[in-house]
Amino acid sequence: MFELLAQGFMNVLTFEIIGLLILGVMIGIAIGSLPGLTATMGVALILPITFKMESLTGILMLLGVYAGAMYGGSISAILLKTPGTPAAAATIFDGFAMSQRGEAGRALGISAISSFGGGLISVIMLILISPQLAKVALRFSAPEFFGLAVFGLSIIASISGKSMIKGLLAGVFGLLLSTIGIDLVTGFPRFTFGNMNLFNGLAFIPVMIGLFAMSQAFTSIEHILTKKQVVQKVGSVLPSKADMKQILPSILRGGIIGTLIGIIPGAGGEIGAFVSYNEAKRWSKHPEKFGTGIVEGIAAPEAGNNGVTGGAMIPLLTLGIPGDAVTAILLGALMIQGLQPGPLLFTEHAGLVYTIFVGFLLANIFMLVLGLFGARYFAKVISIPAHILTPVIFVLCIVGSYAINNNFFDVMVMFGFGALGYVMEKTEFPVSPIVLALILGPMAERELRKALMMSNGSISILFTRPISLILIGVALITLFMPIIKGVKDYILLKKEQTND
Amino acid sequence: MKRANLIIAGLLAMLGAYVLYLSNKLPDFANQNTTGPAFFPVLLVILLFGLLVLLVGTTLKNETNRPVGLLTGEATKSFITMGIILVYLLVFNILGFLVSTVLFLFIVISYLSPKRNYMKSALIAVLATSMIYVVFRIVLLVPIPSGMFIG
Repeated sequence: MFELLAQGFMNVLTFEIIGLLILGVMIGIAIGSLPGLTATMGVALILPITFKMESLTGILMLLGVYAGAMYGGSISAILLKTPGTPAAAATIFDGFAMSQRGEAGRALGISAISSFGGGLISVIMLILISPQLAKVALRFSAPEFFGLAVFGLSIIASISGKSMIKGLLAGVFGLLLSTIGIDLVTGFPRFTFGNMNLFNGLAFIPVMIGLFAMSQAFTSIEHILTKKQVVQKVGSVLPSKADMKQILPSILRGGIIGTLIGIIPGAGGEIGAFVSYNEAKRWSKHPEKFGTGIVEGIAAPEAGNNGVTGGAMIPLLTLGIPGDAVTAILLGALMIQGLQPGPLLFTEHAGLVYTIFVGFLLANIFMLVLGLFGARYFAKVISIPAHILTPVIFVLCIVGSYAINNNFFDVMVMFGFGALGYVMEKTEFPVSPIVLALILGPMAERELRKALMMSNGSISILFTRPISLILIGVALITLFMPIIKGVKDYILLKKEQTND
Repeated sequence: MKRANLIIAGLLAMLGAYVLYLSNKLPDFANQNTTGPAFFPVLLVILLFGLLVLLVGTTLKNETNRPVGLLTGEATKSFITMGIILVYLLVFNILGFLVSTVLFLFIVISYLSPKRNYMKSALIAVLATSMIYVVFRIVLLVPIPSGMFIG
């Protein structure tokens, strides 16, 4: 393993990769700090830029955006009481309280350090866990892969929306969309209406840009601010030794919680941050002080949401199942570059995988440096008015979706899904199950039909093999488990309290 | 939300029926040891109908008539913007990227600005367009559709 990591270091240490990694982190922090622009949107918008790059360089730049955006969200949470990304919502409680006391710099410094700590822990766990998981997954066959796809879909459908039924409906709708194109088993075209552009299926990058970036921009039009917001002055950001000592346990706990939550498909930075915040409060000797602007209250959610980043990469790289919406886009990015994530990636492209690990580690280091020394400049980005930013995002969505295949059809698909995503958000249908279903649909179908061929059409094959039985069983339990809904309601309640 | 849910349920039911109709026309592989192309879509439609029954049931039982927010003034702004984008996409191939994007940005920025300042909007439109053009076309070599006049 160390040999591979050392090799990875050598691969990353080129002028081009380091430069683009730093650029990616900078763009990520800027996007994250802008309210209304989420980490998912940032990665979706930057993705087309990376098409022409070497596969490794492109992926690493996107990882930089991902890590940067997770931290960047805290900047506007602390300075404006508006989370830059949903994942930073929990940072408001103590972050804004501290900055109101005139300690905005201190809050930003703690956020940068904690984000780094959480990210670092998650990368270490990523390096330790994923090769082992990949080894297990190497023994998987058709029934197991089908179980995996069902498992991933059922979890994302049940936690990504307010209503589980609506989440599942979005998932089934996405699965139906995934059947468009040539049937992989019989070679027969389905639902293509004779349109050449649909023979290979609905291209999912335009769908993603539409659902994650364009629909988000439509939503942000509604919230265009009419009054100028006051941005707090940022003083020194380097945290003191006393602060460091105070936040260390929260960072460690938050990083581990975040990583574990990141591994669960569909649970992203938002949930990681909230759970980490609540755990820090529960373990604290002075829980009553949370919300008054204490250091742990910033450290815990920020370590939690950056912890999610590495965690979400674990199922992505080892099983080909994204852990959250951002990694769903990364999956698309890898596939465009001709790399199929899954257990085979670790045997066939071990060098690449370890280089990604090292690059992700570096992304976190750059995030720390930029966060500590550039916070006051990023604080200025927040003042770009939304009525200028949003139209530019529309243009970027269009240019980006055109760039994939130089095909105007893709642009229309992107626009259609942008409008659909907007209506879905209004009617409380979550959009991420569609994307995940579109990605996992072909896998679910292919493996199910393969499994049925293996068993001469008997469905019992899915339930007589231990791993597939467990996966499908867990999926079924998830669907009937209202506890997750309880957690979700609790989070929503907390969120409403912050909006008051 | 009650009415919205029921309308969506109706639309999805129609989609399901349409998929069934199309699947019916796909070839059948029943005689061979394999499932046909219609196997998975039909399975999904069955799932879809099951979920729709649940959606309609829970909606009728629990859902109130709280507004969805698709018919508010703010939402109208989003829909008008959508319309402008559609026109932009239609003239894109005729006018080319540069001209149509400058026009598009000028119109949308002016439309969304709390305070109209046409000079400022025009300036930002030109600047933003040139930046996007330089980054995509020149730095990243991403092709951008050229129009009949200038790229």
